[in-house]
Amino acid sequence: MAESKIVLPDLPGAEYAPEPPPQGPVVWMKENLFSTPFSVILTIIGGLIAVVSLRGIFGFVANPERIWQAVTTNLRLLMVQAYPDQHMWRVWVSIGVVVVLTALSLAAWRVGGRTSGRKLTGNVMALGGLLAIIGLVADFPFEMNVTWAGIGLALAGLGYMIRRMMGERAKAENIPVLAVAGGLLIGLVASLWVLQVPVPDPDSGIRAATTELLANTTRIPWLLLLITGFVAYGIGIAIRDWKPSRPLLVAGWALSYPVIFLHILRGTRMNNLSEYLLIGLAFLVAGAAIIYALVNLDIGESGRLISGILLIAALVTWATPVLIIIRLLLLILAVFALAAPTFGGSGGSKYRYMGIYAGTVVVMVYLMLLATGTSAVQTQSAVPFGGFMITWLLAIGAVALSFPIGVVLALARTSSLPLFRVMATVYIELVRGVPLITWLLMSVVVFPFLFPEGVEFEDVVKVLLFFTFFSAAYLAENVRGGLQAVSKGQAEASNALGMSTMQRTAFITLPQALRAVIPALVGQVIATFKDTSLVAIVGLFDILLIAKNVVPNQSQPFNFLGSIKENLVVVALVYWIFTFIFSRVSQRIERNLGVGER
Amino acid sequence: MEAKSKMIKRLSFLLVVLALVAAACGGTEETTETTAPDDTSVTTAAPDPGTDPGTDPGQDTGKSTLDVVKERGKLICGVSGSAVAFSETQPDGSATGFDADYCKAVAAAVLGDATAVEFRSTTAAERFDVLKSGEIDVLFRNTTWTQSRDSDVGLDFGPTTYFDGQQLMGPGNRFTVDSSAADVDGAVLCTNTGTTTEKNIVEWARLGGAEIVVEGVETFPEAMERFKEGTCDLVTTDGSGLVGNKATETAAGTAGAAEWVIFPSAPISKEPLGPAYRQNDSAWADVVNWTIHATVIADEKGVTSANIDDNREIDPEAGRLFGLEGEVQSAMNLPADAFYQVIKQVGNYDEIYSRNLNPVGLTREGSLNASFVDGGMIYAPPAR
Repeated sequence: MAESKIVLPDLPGAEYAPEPPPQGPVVWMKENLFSTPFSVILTIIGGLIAVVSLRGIFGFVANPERIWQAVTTNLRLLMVQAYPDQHMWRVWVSIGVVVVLTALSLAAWRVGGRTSGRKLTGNVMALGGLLAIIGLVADFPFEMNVTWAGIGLALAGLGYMIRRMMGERAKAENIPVLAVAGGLLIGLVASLWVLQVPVPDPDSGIRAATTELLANTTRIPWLLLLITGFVAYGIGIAIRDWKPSRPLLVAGWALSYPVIFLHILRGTRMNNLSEYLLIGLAFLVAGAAIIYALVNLDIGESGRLISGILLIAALVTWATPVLIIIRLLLLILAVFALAAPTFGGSGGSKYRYMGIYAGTVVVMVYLMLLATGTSAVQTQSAVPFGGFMITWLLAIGAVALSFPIGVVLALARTSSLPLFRVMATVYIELVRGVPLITWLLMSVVVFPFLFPEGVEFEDVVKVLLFFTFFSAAYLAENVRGGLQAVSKGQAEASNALGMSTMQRTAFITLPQALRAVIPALVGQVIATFKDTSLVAIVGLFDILLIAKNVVPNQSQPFNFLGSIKENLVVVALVYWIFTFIFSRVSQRIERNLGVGER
Repeated sequence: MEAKSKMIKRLSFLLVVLALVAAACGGTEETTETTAPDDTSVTTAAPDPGTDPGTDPGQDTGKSTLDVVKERGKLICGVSGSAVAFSETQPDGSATGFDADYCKAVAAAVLGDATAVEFRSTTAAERFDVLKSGEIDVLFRNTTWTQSRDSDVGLDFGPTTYFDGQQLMGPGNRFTVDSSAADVDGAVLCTNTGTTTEKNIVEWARLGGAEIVVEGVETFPEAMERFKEGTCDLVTTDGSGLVGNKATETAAGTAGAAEWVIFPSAPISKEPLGPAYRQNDSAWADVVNWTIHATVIADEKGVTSANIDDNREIDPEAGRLFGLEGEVQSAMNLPADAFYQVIKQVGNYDEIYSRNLNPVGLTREGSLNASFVDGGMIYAPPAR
């Protein structure tokens, strides 16, 4: 949007404008904290609670009894579990893919406004103030109190000095936010070459035998990633006026998940490549021919007969030991055949419909090829994933996959076609009516019996599928709430304009519905993210299980027995950081879409 | 209206047909599944290649796990990954501990290479399932040998590697090593719920006529935290765990830890810990059993990883077990030097024990895990 500024004409008498209201911290406090006797009491009680909890929390952290080395030494275990050394490049290549995509997207969508020096220095002063308060109240050893308070006051003073030096210029909104963020990132990466960390010595069992630069202990080339990010941002700026850049990036994000999960991190070996390709090709040709015949309206009753036979054949194969890929493709073909008269039509839409069928077959063959392939990465656990990596992969995968399924379910449930409505309702009620833990156990224990012909999915794939199905049911209900919130007049107006059902849903009702339920959707994302800790129940080692069971049981060589509190605090912090980022991003989206303003 | 109800009738008919088809198919599937687990390793008829879950070695292929391991060139060994001193996961992801060392011993025997092990961390709940399904070859996961587990479909147990037993721990000013059920009357006891530990202690107290308050927590480390805070007077778990915790707390300088007493001296339950493998696979069972026996026999003869090269033929029995001939080993379908490699690369029973369990304060002297010559229970049949 172009910046617009209302220019007021220099009216005579402007000097009689009302005086600006009094400002300053004292006035602010008077208005917000001590306005009535009741709020005075609330302020005092709230302040006391804040001081006591700050003192407690930071006292806990600084207590010399705490074995924080248990966490720092085991960071790798917590993040990626026993991911082998020689495959560690896969982890940082994955991070690199995300960094590149993020940088390109930031450029392409022109993210980031400008901020003023006043706001920035305000943030620095607030951070300094917080550090100083912690330094004053926390239950630290005395020298630490002094250090923290000193650093805090110095920081606050620095912020104030810069603001004074900038003078009037501080009010101008001319500092790009992204430049500030980039500077902070550079500072963080630079700190790797400044900060010294204690390094344990496994031979002697001494937890802090020597110290080493942080940069030498980390296994991820952060500097390389940082430079890659900056370069990608530059490329993004260069190509952002090129029209297909945004659609390409969206496709890139959609592809990044299967590529990272299946190709990079798991290094899947496609064992059935030729066989599956042949089957896929056969279905492409035969299916296209059948659909081509069926979309022809002259075929009449015999068309329904053919698709009915196909459907029954597809269902019957599920009780026979034919390859799973054949069963799935047959089912897809049957569904497409049944719907052919409805969506096929004539001319262009016929070929578009066949194109969609072909695309579905290709995607299905690709996914099954990968899902049934074996992993090139062998680890201690049943799957090559563990630690925070599994938390992250499951959360992102379940959210991304369940979103389209959930939207389709919501549309089906509000559809006027009884078959769709009943199927969606049964699905949603069935899935929501059973606890997630039960579904997870079923995914590992019962799921294999559904595929008796020897197709073995890894546990992590099964768990991901069930997370997706579970999350989709809840998401569908959220979206349905949004659909109901869209006033009927909108649908009627689009009907009056002669829009088709598809057009009305895609351009009128669904966008408004999704916009209305962003808070509920983000709530669902956060819930799914945290629910991933339940995978411990089926023997996958996520970050919480490692922190709770594995690290506190290490007796040799470093003796981290009883370090459960430290681990849990760090895990809680990790979870909090990510959920907080989610909620901030969602607030930003809401603000950009103007939710809550009308 | 007429047409609509007709359509609904047709639709419902179609649904009924579909349901019947599905039910019929479901039925057939079930029957094939229930018969499958029964015909283990010695298959009479070749199973339908379509219904054969090909990932199950030793179950449906009719092959001994021994051949599977040899073909694979790697042993997949189920451990806990989070049991102090028995199997721990190191910061770099590797596995160490008493159980982990026995995994390495089996790998040394079969493949001649103690490092050819792929460890699989299992939870208590899933350990038997992953063993039965063939995901792991052998389970060394401080698992107690019990009647129900042994007679369970698909499971057999090997010789006990560690004799454990449930005991209690309390502060030294209230309890002594000779304290009995009567002395714990009215005490608050912390333990992790849902285990046999909890049932045992309640039963023991009731039989002794004592009333105790059991405070359940989820994991044993939590129970220890409460015990240290003084919320509970007593904690209970296997004796090895109590000794280990006492030793580490004493080393960490926890107040009063040195005075904690572990009682009663005769444990209130028997917990023989050992390996488990799939049943009806004698060739594999023999290999696992005799790997353990070889470490015990080596200990009895004082043959260690350091001196085995000089003592391979110290007496006829050692000669048969560790010698160059290795007739019996060859008959077991193992390399002739299988048990020599075990001792050379991993060590005898005492070495494995001392390396892993001494640091946490568990000693062999006077315990059930001393050699039978010293009055303990560690005993192996003769190698003849």
